Amino acid sequence: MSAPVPDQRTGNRLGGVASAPRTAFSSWFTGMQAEKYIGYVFVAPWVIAFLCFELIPTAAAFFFSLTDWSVVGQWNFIGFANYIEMFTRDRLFARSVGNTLYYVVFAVPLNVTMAFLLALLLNAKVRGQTFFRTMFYLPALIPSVAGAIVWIWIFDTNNGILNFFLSQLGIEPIRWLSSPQWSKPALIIMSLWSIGAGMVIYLAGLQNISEELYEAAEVDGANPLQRLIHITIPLMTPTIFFNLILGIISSFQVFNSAFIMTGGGPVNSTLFYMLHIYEQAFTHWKMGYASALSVVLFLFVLVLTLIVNRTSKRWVFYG
Amino acid sequence: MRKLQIVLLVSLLVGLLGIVGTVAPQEEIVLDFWNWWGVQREPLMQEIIGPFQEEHPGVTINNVVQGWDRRAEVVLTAMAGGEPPEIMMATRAEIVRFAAEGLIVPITKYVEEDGLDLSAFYPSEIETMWWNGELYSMPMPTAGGETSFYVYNKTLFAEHGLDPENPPATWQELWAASEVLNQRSGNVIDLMAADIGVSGNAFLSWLYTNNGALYSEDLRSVTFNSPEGVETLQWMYDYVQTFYGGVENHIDFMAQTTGESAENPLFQGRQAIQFPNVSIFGHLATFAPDLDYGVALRPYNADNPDARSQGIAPLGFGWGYVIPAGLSPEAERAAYDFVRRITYDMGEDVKGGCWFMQEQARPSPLIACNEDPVFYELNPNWDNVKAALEADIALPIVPPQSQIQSFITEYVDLAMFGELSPQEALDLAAEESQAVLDAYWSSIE
Repeated sequence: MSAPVPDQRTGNRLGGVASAPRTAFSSWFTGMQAEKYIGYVFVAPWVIAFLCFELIPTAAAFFFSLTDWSVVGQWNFIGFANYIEMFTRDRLFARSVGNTLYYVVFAVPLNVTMAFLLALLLNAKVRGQTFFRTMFYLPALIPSVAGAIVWIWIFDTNNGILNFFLSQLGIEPIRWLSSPQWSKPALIIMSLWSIGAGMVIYLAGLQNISEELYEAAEVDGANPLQRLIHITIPLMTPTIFFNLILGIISSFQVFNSAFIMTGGGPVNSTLFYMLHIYEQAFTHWKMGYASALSVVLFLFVLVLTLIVNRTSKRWVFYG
Repeated sequence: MRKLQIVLLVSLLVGLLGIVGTVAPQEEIVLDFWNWWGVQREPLMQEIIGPFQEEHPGVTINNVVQGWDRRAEVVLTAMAGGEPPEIMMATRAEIVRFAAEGLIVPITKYVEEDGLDLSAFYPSEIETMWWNGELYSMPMPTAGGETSFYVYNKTLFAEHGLDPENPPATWQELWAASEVLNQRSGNVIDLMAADIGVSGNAFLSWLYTNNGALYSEDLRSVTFNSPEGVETLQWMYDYVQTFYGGVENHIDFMAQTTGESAENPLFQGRQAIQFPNVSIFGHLATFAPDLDYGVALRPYNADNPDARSQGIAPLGFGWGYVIPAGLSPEAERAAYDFVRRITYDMGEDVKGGCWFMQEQARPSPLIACNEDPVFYELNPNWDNVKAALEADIALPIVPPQSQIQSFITEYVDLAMFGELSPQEALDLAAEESQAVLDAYWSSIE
């Protein structure tokens, strides 16, 4: 494919523009400046949306975290009172942090590992490869609410399919959603439902690894496990790193599954941080306090991401 | 010539009138009405709106049925964004909070102008619509009947040797009947005698049948950790342990069951006694038309001489229709007129709140409406339904109600799971609730 031919009069690759009637503005715009600024025009929709829906609300959250705003009423500036309440009086803050950390510690490694293993399997040249890839990716497209309803059935203590299979192995029924001990593990297992998204990213990464490397290793006598450890995994570390960061950020924001399936129970065992924020904002109308909780989450995830990013120099290979 | 002059003058006059008519038409009042009366209720509401608009030329009601998903967010966002609808269906808790923030207008002056007789409503219903001496709405549907009665399966009673015409009236009788009815195989409840509830709201419902109270009369103190409260929670805990074998078995039993489907265990003959709200009668007609059921009042503690059967109307729900502040006087009056139509107005040819309830086989907050013989044809237990509404009391609530109820819910949960004793749980809940209550009162004084 040939490159666009520059306009003979202006040198502008967007030749059509030059054919418009020439005014002072169009002369200026169709000159070399156009190429310089046209990029801004293209990114403007994203920038405007980012400002309106991300940056300004984030800045507002910082501001409102210092107020007693109830969403609908007047607000008063109360300094750091919300933060003091969070760390000194709100028992559920500590509980929700503990629940969320538990979830992140188990769900993130599990998801990263399982998505990677699944991608390895689906990268193999087997009959029906496309079908299997589609099937495993499909749950990622299903709305989380619908997925949660399905999992309520799966986890049902007395009639659920999961306990049915376990009973075939002689295992007593597990109270997945009705026991404080099992409710978090249940939601962690459920998080595997959407590993399709990570799997697709891994698949893309796997297909970028040169076949020559494997052939060379094979000539040198490397077995499949050695090829996996010494070629695949090192070359996939940038992708693993990317999925790890995404996984950490999204796991700290786990909400839908608990909101729909357990409501934070039993005995607050699935009261995750986002659910606590939601309850404060929309049930108790403490938007100022909810903003303070959001700010703390933002800062915590930011710091954690930076730490993980710092460690990446040791284990991520960009060769 | 003179004729021509007259024709020209008349034409000019007609033309001018036409211009005037075009320039200054009667301004139409358009009222968006947000409500949650979906599914089969939407056309019913439309049948109310049609005649109302004919009687009020220039007023248009847009019937905007909202979804239940994340309702709280939608309501709050609309109010906070300064773009609320002109009329909005609101829970009682929302009404109190909106009123306390000055976001909705009282309708007291309109009610007085129209000379409405508020004693037409059950006291427990209309009393929940007041805040700080002003009336903010009128109720529809009933807030009562949420907690004051139960429905039981007469066939199951007869099969187990219990008299279907003499259902349990006290805690003690309920316990005795449960010993006969309840069937459990290990952790699986095969036949649940009664779902007494295991939540904080269930605790409050039972508390009032033991002569306990949530707050002191001046709303300055929480009182649910009284000896009556502790006795109530202990009784619930003992019931759950004895008949369910633990709260987890109850949760497992109730999983995937909803009152609004054929999966309701009462409809399936897997549960003998259920404590539903008044919408149960419509669902019974739809999903279990052949079920032989009875209605009785919520049992009370016979060991407490001051206790009696009563419901708390409304704790969870209780609906009114609010008019946000900031409307033009004409729009505000029109909005009030519509609120009056869907709550207060009744009569042979009036399609209002009473008619709306009758079409759903539900009782109305209007006492006279429930005297209509049609209800007796729809429901052979109608006298008991009316008795349940009369047994309701208007539970007073405060703006930070949700926080206080969340403490109660949390600590009742802990007691039910055996992590705290009833006394410890209620004392801790009371301590935290009192702090919230104190902070609220000090903030407005």
